[in-house]
Amino acid sequence: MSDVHVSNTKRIWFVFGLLSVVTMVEVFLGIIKPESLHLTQFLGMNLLNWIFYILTIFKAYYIVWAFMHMEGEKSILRKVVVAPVIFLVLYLLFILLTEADYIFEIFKNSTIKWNF
Amino acid sequence: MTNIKSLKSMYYIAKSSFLTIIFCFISVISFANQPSTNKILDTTSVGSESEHAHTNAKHEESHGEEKFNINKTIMEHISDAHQWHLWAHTSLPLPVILYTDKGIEIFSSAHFGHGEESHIYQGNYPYQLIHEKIKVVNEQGEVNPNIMVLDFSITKNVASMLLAVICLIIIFLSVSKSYAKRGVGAPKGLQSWIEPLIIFVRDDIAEPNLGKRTAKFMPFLLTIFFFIWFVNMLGLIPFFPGGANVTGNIAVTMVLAVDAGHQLNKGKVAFYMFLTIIGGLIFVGSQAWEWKNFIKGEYGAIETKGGSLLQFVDNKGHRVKLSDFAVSLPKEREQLTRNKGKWFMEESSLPTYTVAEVQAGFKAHPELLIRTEVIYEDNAASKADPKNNITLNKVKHKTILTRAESEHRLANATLVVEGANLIRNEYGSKLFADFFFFITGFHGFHVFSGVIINIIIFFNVLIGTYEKRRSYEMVEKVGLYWHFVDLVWVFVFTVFYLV
Repeated sequence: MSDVHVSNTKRIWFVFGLLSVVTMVEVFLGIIKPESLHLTQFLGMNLLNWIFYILTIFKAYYIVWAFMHMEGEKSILRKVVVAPVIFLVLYLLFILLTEADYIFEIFKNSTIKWNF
Repeated sequence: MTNIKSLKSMYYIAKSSFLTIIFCFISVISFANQPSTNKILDTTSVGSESEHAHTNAKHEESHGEEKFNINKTIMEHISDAHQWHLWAHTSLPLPVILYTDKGIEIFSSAHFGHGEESHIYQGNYPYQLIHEKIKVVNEQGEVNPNIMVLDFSITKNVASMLLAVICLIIIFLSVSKSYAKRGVGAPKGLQSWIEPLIIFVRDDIAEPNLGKRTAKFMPFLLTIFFFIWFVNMLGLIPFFPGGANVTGNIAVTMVLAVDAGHQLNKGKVAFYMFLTIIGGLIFVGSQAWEWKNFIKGEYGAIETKGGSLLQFVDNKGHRVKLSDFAVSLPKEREQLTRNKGKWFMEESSLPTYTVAEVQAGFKAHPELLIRTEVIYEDNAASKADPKNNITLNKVKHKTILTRAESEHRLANATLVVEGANLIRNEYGSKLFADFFFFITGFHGFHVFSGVIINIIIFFNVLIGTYEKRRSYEMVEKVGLYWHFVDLVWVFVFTVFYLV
C-alpha cells in the first residue's frame, strides 16, 4: 500500500508537469498562430486545429488514466468505459456536422439571406 | 528497545533539539514583530497602563488588604514575559535582544523594572515595555509607531524551551550511551525511564498511522514528542524552572503544526486540499473577471436590420471604440422604467450612444472603416470584389470594407451593441456568445461546487474524520469529481479559447 502510494505521488507530479508543458505549448501556438500550420488544410480542418485537438485528447488521456486512476483498472473495464465515449463523440460529430452543413446551405443558397 | 536504529534516534533527538530552538526563535519573532500603526489606540493603552500602575501603587500601600485576583495571576503565568517571575515581587531578569535601524542591542530586562510598573529604558531609542511588547516612546510616554523594533529577546518561553532542550540533550545523550554500552540488554537508570515512552510513541502513535514508513519518521516524531512533553511538564511546575506556557503560545503551535504538516499524512492531505481550494478559487475568480469584461464590452459595435454585426476599424485595421468617435446629440430616447410604463413594462439599460450618434460620428471621421463578420478568403473572387478593402484585408481574418461600402452598410444600422450577452455580442457571432456563456457558466458552476465540497473535505481532514475512519477514500471520491470537471475544462479550453 505505502510503496504504491510513493510511486503514485511521483507519477502525479510527472503528469502534472507534462500537462502543464502541453498546455504551454498550446497557448504559445495559439498566440503566434504560425501561418504554415494555420493556412494548411487537412481533411477539412487546418493543421493548427488538428494539433490542438490531438494535444487535447493527449491531455484528456493523462487526466483519465493518471488522475482518475483508469490505468489501475482491468483492461475490460477500461474498454467498456472508453469505447462508448468514442462512439458517442464520433456520432455527435457526424450529426452536428451534417445538420450544420444543411443549415449553412439553406442560408447561403435560398431566399433567406445569410448575413453573418 | 530492540534495534540499533533507536540508537541513531537518540543522537538525532539531541541534534534536532538545536533545530527546534530555531523554530522557537521564529515564533517569538513573528509575534514580537507587530509594529502598531494605530497611535490613538496605543496612547490609550499607555493611559490604561499607567492607570493600572496607579491602582497597583494603591494596592501596595494597603498591602494586607490586597485581594487575590485569580485572572491576573493565571494570565501572568501563562502569557509570555520578558522576566521570569520567581516569588512575590522577585523576578529573574532575562536578556532583551532588539534590532532596530540603529543596529542590535542587548540589555537586561531588569532595566524595565518589574511588576506592572514599567520604566523607560534609554537604549538607541527610549524603550518601554507596554503589555509585554517593547515599544519606542517619547518623553510623554506616547508610542512612536514609525520605528520598527524587532524583538529577539530570550523571553520566558524561549528560556523555558532552552531549558527543555538542555534537559533533552543531557537525558538522551546519557540514554544513548547506555544503549551503546549494554546493547539490547535490560535497561538501567534513565534508560529504563525513557524506553517505555519511546515504545509507546512507536507502537501507539507512529505505527497505526504510518505503517511501513514508521521507522523513517521515528526520530522526528520522538523529537517533537519529547520536546513538547518536556516543555509541558516544565510548564506544570508553578514556580521558577517551570511556569512558562510555551505550547499555549499560538505561534509555537503554528510553527510545529506547519512543520508536522510536511512530515505526516494528515497534514499533507490538508495542505494539498488547501492548495486545491486556492487554485479553484483563482479559477472561478478569473472566469468571473473575464465574464465581467465580456458583458461590459470594450469597443462596441453596430447591428444592422439584417442582423449583421459591424465593427469599426481605423485605416491601419485596428479596432476603434465607439466612445472615440461617436458624437453627442440631444437625447431622443428615454429608458422605459416600470414607473413610466402602463403595465409591468421595463427595458434593459440603453446603450451609451444612439445609432444616429454613431452614424454622425462615423461621417465626421473619414479614416474609419467597417469590419464585418465574414472571414476573408484570399481568392480571385474576393480580391475582385470592389466592396472589399484591398490593402487591409488578410486571409482568415474578418473582412474590412472600403469607405464607400462602409457608409452604405452603416445606413442600415438599427442597434448599438455594447458588450456580450445571450442576445447580442459586440465581439462577433451571437451564437458564439450563447455557447460561450452557457458552457463556461455551466463549467464554472461545477468548479464552484467543487470548491465548496473541497472546503468541506478540508475541514473534515483537519478534524480527523478520515483519520478516525482509517480511510481517506472520501477524499479520493471528491478528487474524482474534481478531475472530471478538469477533464471537461481541457475540452472547453480547446474549443472556446484555442481553435
